[in-house]
Amino acid sequence: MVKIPKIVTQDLIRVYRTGKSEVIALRGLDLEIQDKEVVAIQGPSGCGKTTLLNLIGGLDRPTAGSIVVDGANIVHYSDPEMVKYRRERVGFVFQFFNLVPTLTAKENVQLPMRLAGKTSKERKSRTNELLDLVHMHDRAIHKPDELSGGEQQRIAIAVALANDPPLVLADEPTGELDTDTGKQMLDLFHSLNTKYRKTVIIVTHDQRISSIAHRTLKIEDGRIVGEVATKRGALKSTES
Amino acid sequence: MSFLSFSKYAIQSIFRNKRRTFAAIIGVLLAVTLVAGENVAIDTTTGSVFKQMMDTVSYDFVGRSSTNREFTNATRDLANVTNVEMVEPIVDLGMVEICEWGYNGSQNVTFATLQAISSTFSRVANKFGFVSDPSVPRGHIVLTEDMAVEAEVSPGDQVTLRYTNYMAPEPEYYFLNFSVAKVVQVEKPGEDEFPMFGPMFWFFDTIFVNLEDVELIISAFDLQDYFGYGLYSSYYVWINKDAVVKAGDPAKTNELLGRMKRDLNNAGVPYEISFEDSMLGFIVGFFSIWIMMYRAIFLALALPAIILGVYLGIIGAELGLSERRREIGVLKARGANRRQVFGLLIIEALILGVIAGILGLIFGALASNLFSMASPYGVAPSLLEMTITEFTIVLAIVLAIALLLFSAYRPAKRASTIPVTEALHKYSEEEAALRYKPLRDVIFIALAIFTYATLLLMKHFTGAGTPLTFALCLIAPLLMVLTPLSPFFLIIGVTSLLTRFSTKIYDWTSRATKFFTKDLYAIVNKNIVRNPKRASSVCVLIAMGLAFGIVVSSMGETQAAYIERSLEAQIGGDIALVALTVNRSFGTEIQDIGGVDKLTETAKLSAISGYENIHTNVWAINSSAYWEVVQPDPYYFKEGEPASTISMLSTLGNVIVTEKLAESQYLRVNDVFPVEVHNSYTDENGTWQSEEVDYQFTVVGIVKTLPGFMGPDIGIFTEGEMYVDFVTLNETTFGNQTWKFILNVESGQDPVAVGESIRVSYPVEITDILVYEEELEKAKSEPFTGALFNFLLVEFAFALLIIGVGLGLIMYVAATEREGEFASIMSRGASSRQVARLLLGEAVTIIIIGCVIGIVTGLVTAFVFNELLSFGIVGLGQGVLDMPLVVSFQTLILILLTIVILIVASLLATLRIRRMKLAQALRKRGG
Ligand SMILES: Nc1ncnc2c1ncn2[C@@H]1O[C@H](COP(=O)(O)OP(=O)(O)OP(=O)(O)O)[C@@H](O)[C@H]1O
Ligand SMILES: [Mg+2]
Repeated sequence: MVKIPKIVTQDLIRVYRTGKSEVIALRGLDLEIQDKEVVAIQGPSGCGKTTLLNLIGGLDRPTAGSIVVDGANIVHYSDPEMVKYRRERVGFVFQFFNLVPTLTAKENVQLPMRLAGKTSKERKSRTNELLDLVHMHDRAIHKPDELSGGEQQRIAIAVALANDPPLVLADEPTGELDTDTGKQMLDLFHSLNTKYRKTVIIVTHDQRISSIAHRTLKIEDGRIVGEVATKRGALKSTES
Repeated sequence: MSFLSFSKYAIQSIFRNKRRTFAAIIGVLLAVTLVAGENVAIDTTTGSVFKQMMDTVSYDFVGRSSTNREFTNATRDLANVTNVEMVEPIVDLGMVEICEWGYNGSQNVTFATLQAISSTFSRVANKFGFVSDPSVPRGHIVLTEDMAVEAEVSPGDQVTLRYTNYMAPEPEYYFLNFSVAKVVQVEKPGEDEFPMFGPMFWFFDTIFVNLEDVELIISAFDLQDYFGYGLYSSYYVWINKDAVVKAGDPAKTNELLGRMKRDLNNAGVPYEISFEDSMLGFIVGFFSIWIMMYRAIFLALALPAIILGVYLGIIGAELGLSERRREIGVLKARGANRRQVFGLLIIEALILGVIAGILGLIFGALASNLFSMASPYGVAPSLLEMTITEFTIVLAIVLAIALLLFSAYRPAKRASTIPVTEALHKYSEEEAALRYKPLRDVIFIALAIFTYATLLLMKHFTGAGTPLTFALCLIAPLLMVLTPLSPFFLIIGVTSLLTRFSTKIYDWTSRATKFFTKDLYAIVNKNIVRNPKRASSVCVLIAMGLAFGIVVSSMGETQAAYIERSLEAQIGGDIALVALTVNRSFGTEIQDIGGVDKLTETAKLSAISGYENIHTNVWAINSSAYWEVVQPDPYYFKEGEPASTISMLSTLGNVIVTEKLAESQYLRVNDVFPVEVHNSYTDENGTWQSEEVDYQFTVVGIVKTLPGFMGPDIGIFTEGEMYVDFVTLNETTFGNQTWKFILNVESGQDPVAVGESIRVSYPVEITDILVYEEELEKAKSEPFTGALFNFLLVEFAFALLIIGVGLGLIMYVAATEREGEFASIMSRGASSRQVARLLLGEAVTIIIIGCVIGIVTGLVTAFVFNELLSFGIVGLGQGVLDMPLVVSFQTLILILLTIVILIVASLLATLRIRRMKLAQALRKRGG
């Protein structure tokens, strides 16, 4: 069976202009990611990883090129369509958690649902579900700066999943965490894929990602320079 | 770090972060602009008035000699003194009589003073009020107009002057012949000019002769021995005023004038001339006292704007410091101690103060035209003629430095004591939940309530001679200080207590924004609570600004309404006039004058009323005609309804009494009481008659006054008044006497013009005529109160600016500070509109709290102040009319305007969100 790629980028170019100088962060990047695949992205600092993730997540727009997600080119989305895309189809996990400091863990998780106009009943049951998922039920009423880094990141994952998006994007989610906590986090991403059938794109330097990801893409200087099939990917391809 | 390197660092930080600098100085800058602008306006407008006044001064110095006769030499030497522009001698040769040619007898003679003037006198003639040139050739005389009429002489006539020496044992007569050269007119200086000093030629009958004839006259009248006895020469001196007179600087002026006097005396020594002090010194002194007074009053009136400015200054300083926590942390980590950090911040405040002072002066000067209408001498000066005195410069800069230091002190103190670790921390909850101590606010509220309550009590209990009156006298000085401050105490206390003691208020209020923040309202509240102090400060700012506006507007309206009401009570219709010794039918003559519509006649009689022989006024009216012309408002009626009560007067014996009479006689409606009515008139034969008639009156209504009858004497000489119909006064004779007529003009007619034609038609009979519109205009254009009110309006505009900038600034900083946070919310699917609404929700919550507190405290304050004012104006509770607080449309508009401005200011601040670049904002957090 021919697999339909979920995300396809073609000739993706992103140029940052600051005053007179120009930085070309992405120079014609092509990429295909299948539905329910876990892809790791690696590369040296400044090669354009965050830029790529921002573009796929609809946080930023490319200078040129296309990003087709589920058959639609999101580059052509209007601003409201982009908001809807971010709200319903993407969950972002950041290196620095990006939780709202004035809100408790629970309220942070509820925030995307509020934004989407979910009823309070829906919000409640979904929040409980998510807090269970990330094992954070007992810390639900604490504010972000009363939580450890690992706990904050778990909440951040729950936030990302709030509106049940099919696609989860994570930009160095373990960058701020110690080795053990990082491992737990990776396991969580693994289960997102296996249990909840999410497509996951993770930017990380953590080598343990190979046991989770189906593929690892290497980026250098704004282009994909190589692809490494991982243990899991190899397993999977033999499965099929 | 040395002081110098500190200053360098401070200056760098001021110029590198312009927005922070703006936030720190804008409040103080606006307050200083207001003060500087008003002072420049006062100096400029009073300066031009001062110049005009100086021009009306007849001369600058006068010196006299009663011995020396070297007039020409003395004049020359005096004219050579530095800064002297002109010298004119006038020699007083004493009293003479003017006799017709050839007639030597003592009949039909006219006395006059004989004055010798030089041939150059014409150049100063106008300064002494001459309308035409009095220059007189030798051998001739010039007469003042009145003099010529009295002596029946005209130009060309030959006349003999007779001098009588009363010093001799027997009066000795001397004669000298002259021909009359001309007759001159001398005018009295106008009323609005500064009083003229010097020879009052317009008052005394004067004969002028040529100075060169003086020796001839002296020998002819044999005066040489008597020159020391009443005969003397005066030297009038005009100086270069620009060099000597410094407007607004009486000390310097007096010193320079003193030196001038010394120089003149010096030059006068050979001629035995001694000089008096110049009047200029007096005028400058007098004027500077007025200017000082105006300055003091306007500075006091600027207090609300100054307090608002300082409050915004504190907000600005705190915003700056919360941004700079890290910087301060780094400074400390590098070894700066508390004192150094504090010193740095204070030096910054000092430099900012100088900058704010200079900018305030510049902006104030540029805007001084706006203020000139708020100056008692409201002439709009051109920008080029602007006067900026040293006083204004010093005031602006000292005020700016003082206010900035004041607003920076506490935040700087606090910043300098933050522990390093905390300062380096990105965001700390502790700061948000800044320890709140309610003591200050409780004291503030208590003081305000105490003051308000005392002021209200004062109105009700003083004059009664109770111990309370005595107690009030004891605390009067305290009240003087507390009264202007208590509105601020009240607002600061109430707002802080409500918003800081518990965060519930924010919680409830943010619910009110649900209609546009939708589900996000819950977050709105959380964000405000994050920095409750900041939000609270802005609430205070809004409440103070709005309360100030409400107080000014409603008290202004109340004043206007009171003025209208008192004029109505005095005049009754469009015009009221009093005519002396006319017949009752004089009214029909008035009615025939073009434009006059309905008219009613009334006569004021006196009476002894009741059982206690109290003196009252009795107004005889024609009740149906009175009703048609006046139709009094129910406002005047304490008992009874206007139309029916007045119509009841046409029944024999019925009377309406004033509240005051009712009180003093314990009268109620339906009471019957005896009155002895006195009337005086002249009968057909022109004989003066007076009569007293006893009546029994029945009270049918009680009024404050009936419109048309309130006079200035009410409540001072009589115990109230009563109003009866002529029908009732059937036994009183009305003849030629004093009548008062109240009339309306035909619609479309100008009452002022009609009033004028009535005035000119009967100039003798009519002694008093009041035209409502004219009086209202007069009252409104009263320059001083007009200036005060205009100033308060300008000040309110500044207050609006301050609160608008304050809220805008806070929202802008909130938007900037939390850019990363907003970006992360947006990455989770919020639209920029949702985020903007969230921010606006915070602004609206603050606006609602501020406005509610502002409106309530504003109304309460206006009420209390109005009670206090009416207590003063209406006269210790003795007045006839009360002065209820008027809060109308104008105040409502003002409140709406404030809210609109605040919402626009916060919308502008949220615009930033719309322009935010998501990916970039997220990057700021790292990643
Ligand atoms: N707003 C911006 N303006 C200018 N240049 C930018 C901007 N954002 C990113 N860049 C540049 O674009 C390039 C790619 O940046 P990007 O953040 O995508 O790198 P990265 O691979 O995520 O690096 P790292 O591993 O360090 O996070 C870098 O050279 C960076 O300096
Ligand atoms: Mg990156």
